[in-house]
Amino acid sequence: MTFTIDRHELEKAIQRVLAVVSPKTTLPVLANFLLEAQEKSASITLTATDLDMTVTTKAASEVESGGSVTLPAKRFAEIVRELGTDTVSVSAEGEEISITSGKSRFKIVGIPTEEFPTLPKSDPASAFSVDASVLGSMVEKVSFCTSKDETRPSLNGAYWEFSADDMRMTATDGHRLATYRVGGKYKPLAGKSMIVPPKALSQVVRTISSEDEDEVKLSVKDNHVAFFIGSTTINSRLLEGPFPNYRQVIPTDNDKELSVDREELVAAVRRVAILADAMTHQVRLTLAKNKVQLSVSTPDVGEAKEELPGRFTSDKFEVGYNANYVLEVLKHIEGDDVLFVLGSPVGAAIVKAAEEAEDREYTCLLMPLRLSS
Amino acid sequence: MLGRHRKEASLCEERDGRIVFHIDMDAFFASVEVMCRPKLRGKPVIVCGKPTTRSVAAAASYEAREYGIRSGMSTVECFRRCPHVVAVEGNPGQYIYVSLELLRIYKEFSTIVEPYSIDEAFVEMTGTRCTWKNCEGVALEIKDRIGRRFPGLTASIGVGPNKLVAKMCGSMEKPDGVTVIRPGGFTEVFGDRPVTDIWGVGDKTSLALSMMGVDTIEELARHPVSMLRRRFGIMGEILHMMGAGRDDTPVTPYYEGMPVKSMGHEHTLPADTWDIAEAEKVLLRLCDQVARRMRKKGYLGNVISMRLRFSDFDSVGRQKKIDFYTDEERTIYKVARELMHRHWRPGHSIRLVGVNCSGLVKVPEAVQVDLFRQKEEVSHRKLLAAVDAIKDKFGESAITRARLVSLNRRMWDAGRRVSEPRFQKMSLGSTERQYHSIMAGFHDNKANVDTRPLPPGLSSSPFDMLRHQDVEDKARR
Repeated sequence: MTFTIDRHELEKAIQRVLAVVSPKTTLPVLANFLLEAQEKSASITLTATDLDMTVTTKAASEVESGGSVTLPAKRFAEIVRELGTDTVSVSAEGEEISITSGKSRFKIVGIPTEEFPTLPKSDPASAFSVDASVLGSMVEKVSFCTSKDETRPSLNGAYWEFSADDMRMTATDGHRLATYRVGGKYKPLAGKSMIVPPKALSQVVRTISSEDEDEVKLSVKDNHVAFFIGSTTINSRLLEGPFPNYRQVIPTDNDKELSVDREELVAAVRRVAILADAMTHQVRLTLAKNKVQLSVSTPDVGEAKEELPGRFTSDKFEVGYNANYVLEVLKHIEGDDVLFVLGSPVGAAIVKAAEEAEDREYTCLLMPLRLSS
Repeated sequence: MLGRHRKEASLCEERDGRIVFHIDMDAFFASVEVMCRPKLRGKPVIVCGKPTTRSVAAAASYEAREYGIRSGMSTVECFRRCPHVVAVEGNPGQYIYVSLELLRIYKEFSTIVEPYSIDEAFVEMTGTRCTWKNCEGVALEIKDRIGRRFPGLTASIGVGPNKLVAKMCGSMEKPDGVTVIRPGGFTEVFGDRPVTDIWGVGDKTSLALSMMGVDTIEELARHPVSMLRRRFGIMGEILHMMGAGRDDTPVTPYYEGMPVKSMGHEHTLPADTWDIAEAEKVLLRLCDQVARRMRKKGYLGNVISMRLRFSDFDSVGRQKKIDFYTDEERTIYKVARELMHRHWRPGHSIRLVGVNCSGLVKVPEAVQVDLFRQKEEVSHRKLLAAVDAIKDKFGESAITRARLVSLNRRMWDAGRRVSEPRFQKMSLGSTERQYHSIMAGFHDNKANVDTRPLPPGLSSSPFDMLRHQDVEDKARR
């Protein structure tokens, strides 16, 4: 196998797949890229996998002779990054790979290609197109709520469901929930639902920006999902469900509404949270007709209080939240004002933007901290 | 808190010199047994697990030591060295009781008492009526008090200007001795001795020192501190100080220092088992105990570890950090069970199962409510509170899981076969741990347990054991 390639092209291709290579692997070959060169299409293919997710990307190159080889991912990436010239030549003989660029020469040893795991096959022809920017914002607004608790595996991913005229993504860790609905024509996928690991979703978002594509093609087969973005394919195993019935926990009878300036609230929460308990990050909200009082009181640390204007539809109400959860939710909500729809001090609060676009619906739920006094 | 002590201690040292006592009971377990069974006096005695089972000598009386018997030796070996040695099954509750009583005695002499192990304690005598002139007399007074409260029990007391010297000279005249080393007298006594004689210097450190040309304690004191620092880091400076008999660590009363870092339980199975389901039951019972202890003390933890020892004494211990803090046995069990299944070696029979929870924090004032488990969590907490209340009132085994009934019955039966009371079921290895676990309570006088007689067959917590022991003692008298 021998080929010559533009160094920047090669570096870009490496960056698209490198994130999949995990630093600690049980299988040595997983620390390697699979590098294939095709004479016919005058291109090379780079593949990396962690067994749960596989990313394959293509780059144009002048291929003298085709073939395939695996090579240590991190070292190869470092070498290519440090090279000073514009073109790189790579040739392989058996497991020995030579990299030549200007006056620099490197030789590294790979692992036989046969040891690289067999990859799931997916066909872009049968895939369905989704707007890349819609998908990107959907992932960004939802995936921060996925759980890391391994004892609740179905919450470790984002739940993505389709109907004929909308798609919706939901994630929760039991303490907060985010759900985002986008209207559109999704007939071919109607009725389908899946739990996608957040690692795959963030890889998709990264690839969308690096490939600069407007469209993502999507195909779901058995327990795998494949995303085709430009010259890159991301294939991920889906998480096993069932995803809990989240619709059931979205309160319908919350009757108190608080409307408050989002940026002011973020700044105030950040300030008082400096003195919050390191474990619970508790901040207490005391709501009255025209004001919101934030307070924190931590033994051995100190106290903080701040008031800001807000419109509350009920009388005095007191509730405690984890400040980090509040900040994260507020970060993802758009618009000037944010709306809290509240019920009981131990029930979920619905948090959403005061005004929303017609075909979009973004709702977050925040579970409170049960206050002792 | 520690810093304050250290400052005070060094101030005292500058003024009139610190005086620290190290009190070490002689052949503690064996002496307690001899005290309870006067017939054994003068005979070689070892304290071990059940004499019929595989066990090691946890302690040996001085008579037994004459035959070359040492603690840690297998019972088989003990009998080989001295065929007429009397093997007595250990009685943890009894030792804990005596040890707590001893601490009360020490507290009559100074308020700053640091229990170092079940049979050793440091007492800060600085600022009391004890001076360098009368310290020997005070030490004899303490020994006299111990002898009057527990006839036959003797202690060796080391008196020094700090903990290091007190500890090192305490062991010079054993048994029943008093050794005093005054400020500046350390090198004279210990200078020629090998560095391994320093408290805390083991084989590895001494080997490293030997390669630097340091063999004796005096050589260590004279060795340039910069070279020691280069080789051992921060420990180098400490070693240098130790070589000169200097030590500024304070005597830390238990209730002030040492925050709890972890809580755990281990259990050696009555017989090795190949059956993982059986080991799972033991694990579940241990998780119940650990979680209950955490709730009782008001702690939550997020690192769960599991330990298995196989019949060939090979052990495997693994831990896992979870994403949240818990004090519930179901979570601890779920994680520990997963670890157990992952690291169990099929074909190896299991001898011991252990579980431990660390990363402890005090229960916060506010509790995060869960979206999906809110109702279930509230009812589960109610259930736990009810179970805890029943156990508080009627004893640890008053209520148990249906799944564990057979396990408990088997263990009770195993206990009954031995004529001695129930608390003997516990392994000797756990004595120290239980002792530590109730120390905090001792200082709050929580260990002043009521002495109502227990219904037969109800006891497994150390508190219950004490109570049981009191009853036993009264009956014996």
